[in-house]
Amino acid sequence: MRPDLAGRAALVTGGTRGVGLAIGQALARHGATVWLTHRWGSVDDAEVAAAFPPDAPPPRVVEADAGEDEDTRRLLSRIAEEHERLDVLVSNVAVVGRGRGLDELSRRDFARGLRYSAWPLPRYLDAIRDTFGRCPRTVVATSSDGVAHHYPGYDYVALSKAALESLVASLAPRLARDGGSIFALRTRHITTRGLGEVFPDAASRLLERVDDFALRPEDAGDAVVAMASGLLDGLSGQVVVLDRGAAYLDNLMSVGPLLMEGVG
Amino acid sequence: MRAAPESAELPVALVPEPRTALCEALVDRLRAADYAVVSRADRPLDLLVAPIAPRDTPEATAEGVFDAIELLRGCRATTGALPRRTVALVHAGVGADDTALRHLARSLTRTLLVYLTAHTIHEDARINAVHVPGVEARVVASSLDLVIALSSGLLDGVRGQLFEVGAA
Repeated sequence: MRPDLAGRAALVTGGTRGVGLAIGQALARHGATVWLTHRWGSVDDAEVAAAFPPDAPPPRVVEADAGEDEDTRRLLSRIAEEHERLDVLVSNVAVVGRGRGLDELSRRDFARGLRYSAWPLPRYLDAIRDTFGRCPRTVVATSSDGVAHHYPGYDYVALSKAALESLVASLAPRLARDGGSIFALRTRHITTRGLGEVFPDAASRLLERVDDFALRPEDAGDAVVAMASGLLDGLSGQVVVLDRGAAYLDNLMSVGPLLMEGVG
Repeated sequence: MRAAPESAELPVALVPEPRTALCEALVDRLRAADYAVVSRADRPLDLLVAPIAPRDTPEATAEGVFDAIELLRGCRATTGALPRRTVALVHAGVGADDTALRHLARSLTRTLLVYLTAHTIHEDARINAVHVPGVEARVVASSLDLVIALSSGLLDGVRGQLFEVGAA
Protein backbone atom coordinates (compact mmCIF):
# COMPACT_ATOMS: atom_id res chain seq x y z
CA MET A 1 0.00 0.00 0.00
CA ARG A 2 1.47 3.32 -1.02
CA PRO A 3 -0.61 6.33 0.02
CA ASP A 4 -1.10 8.80 -2.80
CA LEU A 5 -0.96 12.37 -1.53
CA ALA A 6 -0.71 13.97 -4.98
CA GLY A 7 -2.49 17.29 -5.13
CA ARG A 8 -2.48 17.74 -1.38
CA ALA A 9 -0.86 20.63 0.41
CA ALA A 10 1.03 20.10 3.64
CA LEU A 11 2.54 22.60 6.06
CA VAL A 12 5.38 21.55 8.38
CA THR A 13 6.41 24.13 10.97
CA GLY A 14 10.08 23.95 11.88
CA GLY A 15 10.44 21.97 8.70
CA THR A 16 13.82 22.86 7.28
CA ARG A 17 15.94 20.42 9.24
CA GLY A 18 15.93 17.29 11.35
CA VAL A 19 12.63 15.55 11.98
CA GLY A 20 10.58 18.32 10.36
CA LEU A 21 12.58 18.09 7.16
CA ALA A 22 12.27 14.30 7.10
CA ILE A 23 8.51 14.58 7.50
CA GLY A 24 8.38 17.08 4.66
CA GLN A 25 10.46 14.80 2.44
CA ALA A 26 8.23 11.82 3.19
CA LEU A 27 5.06 13.75 2.38
CA ALA A 28 6.64 15.00 -0.84
CA ARG A 29 7.75 11.50 -1.84
CA HIS A 30 4.07 10.57 -1.75
CA GLY A 31 3.12 13.50 -3.93
CA ALA A 32 2.19 16.27 -1.52
CA THR A 33 3.28 19.86 -2.06
CA VAL A 34 5.10 20.75 1.12
CA TRP A 35 5.47 24.12 2.80
CA LEU A 36 8.29 24.29 5.32
CA THR A 37 8.72 27.09 7.83
CA HIS A 38 11.73 28.20 9.78
CA ARG A 39 12.39 31.08 12.07
CA TRP A 40 15.93 31.34 13.24
CA GLY A 41 19.22 31.07 11.46
CA SER A 42 19.92 31.18 7.80
CA VAL A 43 18.41 28.52 5.63
CA ASP A 44 19.70 27.83 2.17
CA ASP A 45 16.54 27.30 0.11
CA ALA A 46 18.50 25.56 -2.64
CA GLU A 47 20.04 23.16 -0.15
CA VAL A 48 16.64 22.29 1.28
CA ALA A 49 15.19 21.85 -2.22
CA ALA A 50 18.10 19.56 -3.15
CA ALA A 51 17.17 17.30 -0.26
CA PHE A 52 13.86 16.52 -1.94
CA PRO A 53 13.32 13.83 -4.57
CA PRO A 54 13.63 15.30 -8.09
CA ASP A 55 10.28 13.86 -9.11
CA ALA A 56 8.47 15.33 -6.10
CA PRO A 57 6.84 18.75 -6.03
CA PRO A 58 9.56 21.21 -4.95
CA PRO A 59 9.23 22.43 -1.37
CA ARG A 60 8.22 25.96 -0.52
CA VAL A 61 10.38 27.41 2.22
CA VAL A 62 9.01 30.34 4.21
CA GLU A 63 10.33 32.20 7.20
CA ALA A 64 7.48 32.43 9.71
CA ASP A 65 7.60 32.74 13.47
CA ALA A 66 5.12 30.23 14.88
CA GLY A 67 4.61 32.47 17.90
CA GLU A 68 3.55 35.48 15.82
CA ASP A 69 -0.03 35.52 14.55
CA GLU A 70 0.81 38.04 11.85
CA ASP A 71 3.47 35.72 10.42
CA THR A 72 0.94 32.89 10.45
CA ARG A 73 -1.64 34.92 8.55
CA ARG A 74 0.95 35.97 5.98
CA LEU A 75 2.13 32.40 5.54
CA LEU A 76 -1.39 31.07 5.03
CA SER A 77 -2.17 33.81 2.52
CA ARG A 78 0.80 32.67 0.48
CA ILE A 79 -0.33 29.06 0.64
CA ALA A 80 -3.85 30.12 -0.38
CA GLU A 81 -2.43 31.68 -3.54
CA GLU A 82 -1.51 28.17 -4.71
CA HIS A 83 -3.98 25.86 -2.96
CA GLU A 84 -7.70 25.84 -2.30
CA ARG A 85 -7.20 23.98 0.95
CA LEU A 86 -4.50 22.90 3.36
CA ASP A 87 -4.73 19.15 3.85
CA VAL A 88 -2.01 18.41 6.37
CA LEU A 89 -0.57 20.44 9.24
CA VAL A 90 2.47 19.17 11.11
CA SER A 91 3.23 21.22 14.21
CA ASN A 92 6.88 20.46 14.73
CA VAL A 93 8.50 23.70 15.79
CA ALA A 94 10.13 23.59 19.21
CA VAL A 95 12.35 25.92 21.13
CA VAL A 96 15.28 24.07 22.59
CA GLY A 97 16.13 25.67 25.92
CA ARG A 98 18.17 23.74 28.45
CA GLY A 99 16.75 23.22 31.91
CA ARG A 100 19.45 23.24 34.58
CA GLY A 101 17.91 21.76 37.68
CA LEU A 102 15.27 22.86 40.13
CA ASP A 103 16.97 26.07 41.19
CA GLU A 104 17.52 27.31 37.65
CA LEU A 105 14.12 26.58 36.14
CA SER A 106 12.93 29.91 34.85
CA ARG A 107 9.35 31.05 34.43
CA ARG A 108 10.39 33.07 31.39
CA ASP A 109 12.00 30.11 29.60
CA PHE A 110 9.07 27.89 30.55
CA ALA A 111 6.63 30.40 29.02
CA ARG A 112 8.86 30.83 25.98
CA GLY A 113 8.91 27.09 25.28
CA LEU A 114 5.13 26.95 25.46
CA ARG A 115 4.74 30.06 23.34
CA TYR A 116 6.60 28.57 20.41
CA SER A 117 5.98 24.87 20.83
CA ALA A 118 2.44 24.44 22.16
CA TRP A 119 0.17 27.47 22.00
CA PRO A 120 0.57 27.99 18.20
CA LEU A 121 -1.30 24.75 17.45
CA PRO A 122 -4.85 26.00 18.17
CA ARG A 123 -3.95 29.39 16.70
CA TYR A 124 -2.80 27.76 13.49
CA LEU A 125 -6.07 25.84 13.31
CA ASP A 126 -8.07 29.04 13.81
CA ALA A 127 -6.09 30.81 11.11
CA ILE A 128 -6.35 27.87 8.69
CA ARG A 129 -10.10 27.76 9.23
CA ASP A 130 -10.33 31.51 8.62
CA THR A 131 -8.29 31.22 5.43
CA PHE A 132 -9.61 28.01 3.89
CA GLY A 133 -13.02 27.62 5.56
CA ARG A 134 -12.13 24.35 7.23
CA CYS A 135 -9.48 22.66 9.32
CA PRO A 136 -6.87 20.39 7.71
CA ARG A 137 -7.83 16.80 7.07
CA THR A 138 -4.84 15.63 9.13
CA VAL A 139 -3.03 17.39 11.96
CA VAL A 140 0.07 15.96 13.59
CA ALA A 141 1.89 17.39 16.60
CA THR A 142 5.36 15.99 17.07
CA SER A 143 6.14 15.10 20.66
CA SER A 144 8.80 13.08 22.43
CA ASP A 145 9.06 10.56 25.21
CA GLY A 146 10.71 13.24 27.30
CA VAL A 147 7.11 13.86 28.35
CA ALA A 148 7.17 10.66 30.37
CA HIS A 149 10.89 10.03 30.96
CA HIS A 150 13.56 12.31 32.31
CA TYR A 151 16.16 13.49 29.83
CA PRO A 152 18.84 15.79 31.25
CA GLY A 153 18.27 19.42 30.35
CA TYR A 154 15.04 18.64 28.53
CA ASP A 155 12.66 20.21 31.07
CA TYR A 156 11.23 23.02 28.96
CA VAL A 157 10.84 20.98 25.80
CA ALA A 158 9.22 18.14 27.75
CA LEU A 159 6.73 20.47 29.41
CA SER A 160 5.82 22.12 26.13
CA LYS A 161 5.33 18.71 24.54
CA ALA A 162 3.13 17.65 27.46
CA ALA A 163 0.98 20.71 26.80
CA LEU A 164 0.95 19.87 23.09
CA GLU A 165 -0.25 16.31 23.73
CA SER A 166 -2.98 17.69 25.96
CA LEU A 167 -4.07 20.11 23.24
CA VAL A 168 -4.24 17.25 20.76
CA ALA A 169 -6.70 15.40 22.98
CA SER A 170 -8.78 18.55 23.48
CA LEU A 171 -8.83 19.55 19.82
CA ALA A 172 -9.94 16.17 18.47
CA PRO A 173 -13.69 16.92 18.67
CA ARG A 174 -13.16 20.19 16.82
CA LEU A 175 -11.24 18.41 14.06
CA ALA A 176 -13.92 15.74 13.89
CA ARG A 177 -16.56 18.39 13.13
CA ASP A 178 -14.59 19.22 9.97
CA GLY A 179 -14.05 15.55 9.16
CA GLY A 180 -10.42 15.70 10.21
CA SER A 181 -8.13 13.85 12.58
CA ILE A 182 -5.37 14.94 14.94
CA PHE A 183 -2.53 12.97 16.44
CA ALA A 184 0.47 13.42 18.69
CA LEU A 185 3.51 11.54 17.45
CA ARG A 186 5.66 10.76 20.48
CA THR A 187 9.10 9.61 19.43
CA ARG A 188 12.08 8.15 21.21
CA HIS A 189 15.38 9.90 20.56
CA ILE A 190 16.02 10.47 16.89
CA THR A 191 19.55 10.98 15.68
CA THR A 192 19.53 14.54 14.38
CA ARG A 193 21.62 17.67 14.78
CA GLY A 194 19.06 18.88 17.32
CA LEU A 195 19.77 15.84 19.50
CA GLY A 196 23.43 16.81 19.65
CA GLU A 197 22.49 20.35 20.64
CA VAL A 198 20.55 19.22 23.68
CA PHE A 199 22.55 16.25 24.91
CA PRO A 200 26.29 16.02 25.49
CA ASP A 201 28.60 14.02 23.24
CA ALA A 202 29.02 11.31 25.85
CA ALA A 203 25.28 10.67 25.87
CA SER A 204 25.22 10.53 22.08
CA ARG A 205 28.09 8.02 22.03
CA LEU A 206 26.32 5.91 24.63
CA LEU A 207 23.16 5.96 22.55
CA GLU A 208 25.12 4.40 19.70
CA ARG A 209 25.47 1.29 21.86
CA VAL A 210 21.71 0.82 21.84
CA ASP A 211 21.39 1.68 18.19
CA ASP A 212 18.70 -0.97 17.66
CA PHE A 213 16.29 1.41 19.36
CA ALA A 214 17.46 4.59 17.67
CA LEU A 215 14.93 6.04 15.31
CA ARG A 216 15.83 7.60 12.02
CA PRO A 217 14.14 10.85 11.00
CA GLU A 218 12.62 8.88 8.11
CA ASP A 219 10.68 6.74 10.60
CA ALA A 220 8.85 9.85 11.77
CA GLY A 221 8.21 10.81 8.15
CA ASP A 222 6.71 7.42 7.36
CA ALA A 223 4.46 7.61 10.43
CA VAL A 224 3.12 11.00 9.37
CA VAL A 225 2.41 9.68 5.86
CA ALA A 226 0.41 6.86 7.47
CA MET A 227 -1.54 9.43 9.47
CA ALA A 228 -2.15 11.55 6.37
CA SER A 229 -3.42 8.47 4.52
CA GLY A 230 -6.56 8.39 6.67
CA LEU A 231 -5.93 4.83 7.79
CA LEU A 232 -5.36 5.89 11.41
CA ASP A 233 -8.43 8.09 11.75
CA GLY A 234 -9.82 5.79 14.43
CA LEU A 235 -7.01 7.00 16.71
CA SER A 236 -7.76 10.71 16.48
CA GLY A 237 -6.87 12.62 19.64
CA GLN A 238 -4.40 10.02 20.81
CA VAL A 239 -0.66 9.79 21.30
CA VAL A 240 1.05 7.36 18.93
CA VAL A 241 4.33 6.14 20.41
CA LEU A 242 7.11 5.58 17.89
CA ASP A 243 9.99 3.90 19.74
CA ARG A 244 10.70 0.48 18.20
CA GLY A 245 9.37 -1.05 21.42
CA ALA A 246 12.23 0.34 23.48
CA ALA A 247 9.89 1.35 26.32
CA TYR A 248 9.44 -2.32 27.12
CA LEU A 249 13.20 -2.77 27.63
CA ASP A 250 13.71 0.47 29.51
CA ASN A 251 15.48 -0.93 32.56
CA LEU A 252 19.05 -1.53 33.60
CA MET A 253 18.82 -5.32 33.40
CA SER A 254 17.82 -5.16 29.74
CA VAL A 255 19.88 -2.23 28.57
CA GLY A 256 22.81 -2.57 30.96
CA PRO A 257 24.48 -5.49 29.16
CA LEU A 258 24.24 -3.63 25.84
CA LEU A 259 25.82 -0.56 27.38
CA MET A 260 28.59 -2.60 28.97
CA GLU A 261 29.56 -4.43 25.78
CA GLY A 262 33.22 -3.81 25.10
CA VAL A 263 33.66 -1.91 28.36
CA GLY A 264 36.19 -3.32 30.87
CA MET B 1 -3.51 7.28 60.40
CA ARG B 2 -1.05 9.39 62.35
CA ALA B 3 1.74 11.44 60.88
CA ALA B 4 5.12 9.76 60.60
CA PRO B 5 6.92 10.37 63.91
CA GLU B 6 10.12 12.23 63.05
CA SER B 7 10.68 13.95 66.40
CA ALA B 8 8.95 14.78 69.64
CA GLU B 9 7.51 17.89 68.03
CA LEU B 10 4.45 17.81 65.86
CA PRO B 11 5.25 17.34 62.19
CA VAL B 12 4.69 20.47 60.15
CA ALA B 13 2.55 20.74 57.03
CA LEU B 14 2.37 23.83 54.88
CA VAL B 15 -0.90 24.51 53.09
CA PRO B 16 -0.61 27.92 51.40
CA GLU B 17 -3.23 30.62 51.63
CA PRO B 18 -5.70 31.61 50.31
CA ARG B 19 -7.21 28.16 50.68
CA THR B 20 -9.99 26.57 48.71
CA ALA B 21 -12.71 24.56 50.44
CA LEU B 22 -10.78 21.44 49.48
CA CYS B 23 -7.61 22.75 51.13
CA GLU B 24 -9.54 23.78 54.24
CA ALA B 25 -10.91 20.26 54.47
CA LEU B 26 -7.37 18.95 54.09
CA VAL B 27 -6.18 21.23 56.89
CA ASP B 28 -8.81 19.71 59.17
CA ARG B 29 -7.68 16.21 58.24
CA LEU B 30 -4.03 17.07 58.80
CA ARG B 31 -4.75 18.54 62.22
CA ALA B 32 -6.71 15.45 63.11
CA ALA B 33 -3.61 13.48 62.12
CA ASP B 34 -1.50 15.55 64.56
CA TYR B 35 0.10 17.93 62.07
CA ALA B 36 0.89 21.49 62.88
CA VAL B 37 -0.46 23.29 59.82
CA VAL B 38 1.21 26.51 58.74
CA SER B 39 0.83 28.85 55.77
CA ARG B 40 4.49 29.97 55.58
CA ALA B 41 7.68 27.96 55.51
CA ASP B 42 9.27 29.20 58.73
CA ARG B 43 10.76 25.83 59.73
CA PRO B 44 11.63 22.54 58.01
CA LEU B 45 8.55 20.96 56.54
CA ASP B 46 7.37 17.40 56.72
CA LEU B 47 4.69 18.06 54.16
CA LEU B 48 4.07 20.70 51.53
CA VAL B 49 0.73 20.85 49.78
CA ALA B 50 0.97 22.63 46.43
CA PRO B 51 -2.49 23.37 45.01
CA ILE B 52 -2.71 23.41 41.23
CA ALA B 53 -5.95 24.48 39.58
CA PRO B 54 -6.83 25.22 35.98
CA ARG B 55 -7.31 28.90 35.26
CA ASP B 56 -9.15 30.76 32.55
CA THR B 57 -6.67 30.24 29.71
CA PRO B 58 -3.98 27.69 28.78
CA GLU B 59 -1.28 30.30 29.41
CA ALA B 60 -2.61 31.14 32.87
CA THR B 61 -3.02 27.47 33.69
CA ALA B 62 0.62 26.82 32.81
CA GLU B 63 1.63 29.77 35.00
CA GLY B 64 -0.26 28.16 37.85
CA VAL B 65 1.66 24.94 37.42
CA PHE B 66 4.92 26.88 37.56
CA ASP B 67 3.77 28.41 40.85
CA ALA B 68 4.25 24.97 42.39
CA ILE B 69 7.93 25.05 41.44
CA GLU B 70 8.36 28.44 43.06
CA LEU B 71 6.58 27.27 46.18
CA LEU B 72 8.97 24.34 46.42
CA ARG B 73 12.02 26.52 45.83
CA GLY B 74 10.77 29.08 48.33
CA CYS B 75 10.53 26.39 51.00
CA ARG B 76 14.11 25.32 50.37
CA ALA B 77 15.36 28.90 50.37
CA THR B 78 13.66 29.61 53.67
CA THR B 79 14.22 26.39 55.58
CA GLY B 80 17.43 25.14 53.95
CA ALA B 81 15.87 21.90 52.75
CA LEU B 82 13.10 20.66 50.54
CA PRO B 83 9.99 19.40 52.30
CA ARG B 84 10.33 15.68 53.02
CA ARG B 85 7.08 15.10 51.21
CA THR B 86 5.28 17.26 48.70
CA VAL B 87 1.83 16.61 47.32
CA ALA B 88 0.58 18.68 44.42
CA LEU B 89 -3.17 18.80 44.68
CA VAL B 90 -4.58 19.17 41.18
CA HIS B 91 -8.20 20.17 41.33
CA ALA B 92 -10.87 22.18 39.55
CA GLY B 93 -10.55 25.91 40.05
CA VAL B 94 -13.38 28.24 40.85
CA GLY B 95 -15.27 28.75 37.61
CA ALA B 96 -12.76 26.76 35.62
CA ASP B 97 -14.75 23.70 34.71
CA ASP B 98 -13.31 23.51 31.21
CA THR B 99 -12.29 19.93 30.59
CA ALA B 100 -9.47 20.97 28.27
CA LEU B 101 -7.86 23.22 30.88
CA ARG B 102 -8.08 20.52 33.52
CA HIS B 103 -6.51 18.06 31.12
CA LEU B 104 -3.73 20.56 30.45
CA ALA B 105 -3.06 21.13 34.16
CA ARG B 106 -2.84 17.38 34.68
CA SER B 107 -0.56 16.80 31.69
CA LEU B 108 1.84 19.54 32.70
CA THR B 109 1.87 18.32 36.30
CA ARG B 110 2.57 14.74 35.25
CA THR B 111 5.61 15.75 33.21
CA LEU B 112 6.76 18.23 35.83
CA LEU B 113 6.78 15.40 38.38
CA VAL B 114 9.14 13.42 36.15
CA TYR B 115 11.64 16.27 36.04
CA LEU B 116 11.30 17.44 39.65
CA THR B 117 11.81 13.88 40.82
CA ALA B 118 14.93 13.56 38.69
CA HIS B 119 16.28 16.86 40.01
CA THR B 120 15.69 15.89 43.64
CA ILE B 121 16.44 12.19 43.43
CA HIS B 122 19.42 12.44 45.82
CA GLU B 123 17.55 14.53 48.36
CA ASP B 124 15.30 13.44 51.19
CA ALA B 125 12.29 14.65 49.27
CA ARG B 126 9.54 12.92 47.38
CA ILE B 127 7.07 14.78 45.21
CA ASN B 128 3.78 13.28 44.11
CA ALA B 129 0.42 14.59 42.96
CA VAL B 130 -3.23 13.79 43.52
CA HIS B 131 -5.80 14.72 40.92
CA VAL B 132 -9.17 15.47 42.48
CA PRO B 133 -11.68 15.15 39.66
CA GLY B 134 -14.70 16.72 41.34
CA VAL B 135 -16.34 17.99 44.48
CA GLU B 136 -18.44 14.95 45.36
CA ALA B 137 -18.04 14.08 49.04
CA ARG B 138 -16.82 10.59 48.19
CA VAL B 139 -14.18 11.88 45.78
CA VAL B 140 -12.97 14.55 48.18
CA ALA B 141 -12.78 12.06 51.05
CA SER B 142 -10.77 9.61 48.96
CA SER B 143 -8.43 12.38 47.86
CA LEU B 144 -7.78 13.53 51.40
CA ASP B 145 -7.21 9.91 52.47
CA LEU B 146 -4.60 9.64 49.76
CA VAL B 147 -2.79 12.80 50.87
CA ILE B 148 -2.73 11.49 54.44
CA ALA B 149 -1.35 8.15 53.20
CA LEU B 150 1.37 9.90 51.18
CA SER B 151 2.32 11.98 54.19
CA SER B 152 2.49 8.98 56.52
CA GLY B 153 5.90 7.78 55.42
CA LEU B 154 4.51 4.41 54.40
CA LEU B 155 4.68 5.37 50.72
CA ASP B 156 8.07 7.06 50.73
CA GLY B 157 9.19 4.66 48.02
CA VAL B 158 6.64 6.26 45.71
CA ARG B 159 8.10 9.20 43.83
CA GLY B 160 6.92 11.30 40.93
CA GLN B 161 3.46 9.77 40.54
CA LEU B 162 0.20 11.48 39.73
CA PHE B 163 -2.68 9.61 41.33
CA GLU B 164 -6.08 9.73 39.71
CA VAL B 165 -8.71 9.46 42.41
CA GLY B 166 -11.81 7.61 41.32
CA ALA B 167 -10.35 6.65 37.97
CA ALA B 168 -11.82 3.13 38.16
